[in-house]
Amino acid sequence: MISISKLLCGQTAEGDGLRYDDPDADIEQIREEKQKRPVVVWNTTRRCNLYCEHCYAGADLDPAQGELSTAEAKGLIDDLADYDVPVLLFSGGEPLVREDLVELVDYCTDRGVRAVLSTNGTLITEEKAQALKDAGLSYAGVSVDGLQERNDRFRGKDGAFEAAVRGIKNCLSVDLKTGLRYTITEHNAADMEDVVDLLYDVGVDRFCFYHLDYGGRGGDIADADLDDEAQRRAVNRLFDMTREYHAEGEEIETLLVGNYADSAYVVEYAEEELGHERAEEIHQYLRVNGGDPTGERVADVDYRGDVHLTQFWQSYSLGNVRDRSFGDIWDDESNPLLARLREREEHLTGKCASCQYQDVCRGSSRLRALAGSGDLFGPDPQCYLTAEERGVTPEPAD
Amino acid sequence: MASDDDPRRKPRIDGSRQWEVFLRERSAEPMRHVGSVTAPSADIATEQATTLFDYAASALWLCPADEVRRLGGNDLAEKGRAESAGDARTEGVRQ
Ligand code: SF4
Repeated sequence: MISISKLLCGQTAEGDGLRYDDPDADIEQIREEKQKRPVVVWNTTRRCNLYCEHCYAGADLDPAQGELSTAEAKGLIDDLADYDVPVLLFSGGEPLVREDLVELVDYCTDRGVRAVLSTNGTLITEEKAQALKDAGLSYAGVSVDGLQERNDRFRGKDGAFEAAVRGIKNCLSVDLKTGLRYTITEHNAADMEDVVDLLYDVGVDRFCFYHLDYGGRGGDIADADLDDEAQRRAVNRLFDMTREYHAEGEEIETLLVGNYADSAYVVEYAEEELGHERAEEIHQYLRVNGGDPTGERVADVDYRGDVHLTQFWQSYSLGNVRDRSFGDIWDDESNPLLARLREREEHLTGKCASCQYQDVCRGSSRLRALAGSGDLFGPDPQCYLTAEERGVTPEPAD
Repeated sequence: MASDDDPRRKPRIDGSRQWEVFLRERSAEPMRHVGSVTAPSADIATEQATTLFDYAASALWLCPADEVRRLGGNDLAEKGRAESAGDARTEGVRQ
């Protein structure tokens, strides 16, 4: 996650210690130091009440065999707590279709792991929001992917937009910190700003924008991914919008997720708009953050207990938590793929190999590279930087 | 857990199949388990495993996950129940 509001506007947040090793003394931090263990996404279930076009988990309404039981889920949480995982993200499918969700959130926070939720928001009643808050849930990220008509088409259900906004209001009414999750594609890039304005009026002040990754059904709509120019426009607009809000004294938190070429681009933007000194400072923060976190600072456990390198990369699993504890699987670098990913700088090829921003990007998404060229260490097709921005001087023609 | 009730042996419902992947780096070394791939066909599973591990393998084996009989493992349910029972006892003392 790249915090645009912190980098461009100096806004402090509870994730600063975890992300940039830069905790603010006045704000309670998730961690004071940069994380050593991964944030774990847990796909609690494969079931979902919606059928979204871009779902990386390929979720649908059919019950899936092999879902972790309540007792097994508690065993998993014990393993994660023993391994000192800082944050568990309850995801899905739609986690609210699990009847034991509140019980598991309660168990998780009791074991000292911060619990956060990723949801489509449509099942959050005020009572449910209150129960989750009482169980110790720290944050709910609600997915909305456009204004009403577009969102409902994308999510495969009329009324999904209204239901999600109702869910957001229910969370806010019980004082549960709530943010937007928005996956940017060609179809909805134009709605971004209006959705932020609308939800800001409702009381949301945290906005996370996801680039499309090519896992699950996301792979089927890779054609709807933005081209280079459209990516730059969308990212630029988000930078400008964040600064405009802050200039008005309205301190929204904005984050970009899923494409670490954005790290490089925010430095380029700062150089242009804020001057060299500020750009250098931002570059340094991003070096500490360390670029794409796949296989290191983020992990995924799916509904059957399979451990993945990120939540988007469901087609490959390192092992299953029913066979070995999460920590044993994650630490096992006798797996050559895991070992190589953790030293990927030595293996990157193509334009990533010579890029001046490798230290803050690390080649971005290996999953997209694989989907794009079949080469695990090839370039990420979603990188929109020009050769000049990458620090490459073209060879003069003979 | 070695019976057909083992959830790790249940077929997936999304039309794909999971394949456990085993790798031998050098001829003198033992075969090692290096995770699994999920794919709609054996050919695609083989292609995926090759892309991910070819550089490190003198031999790669794939085996359908739903055909593997597993003995032992990490009994999550037992751990979860033990911890919950511990909580209940602590609660009891506190009251
Ligand atoms: S060329 Fe590679 S390392 Fe450089 S910004 Fe693009 S994806 Fe990142």
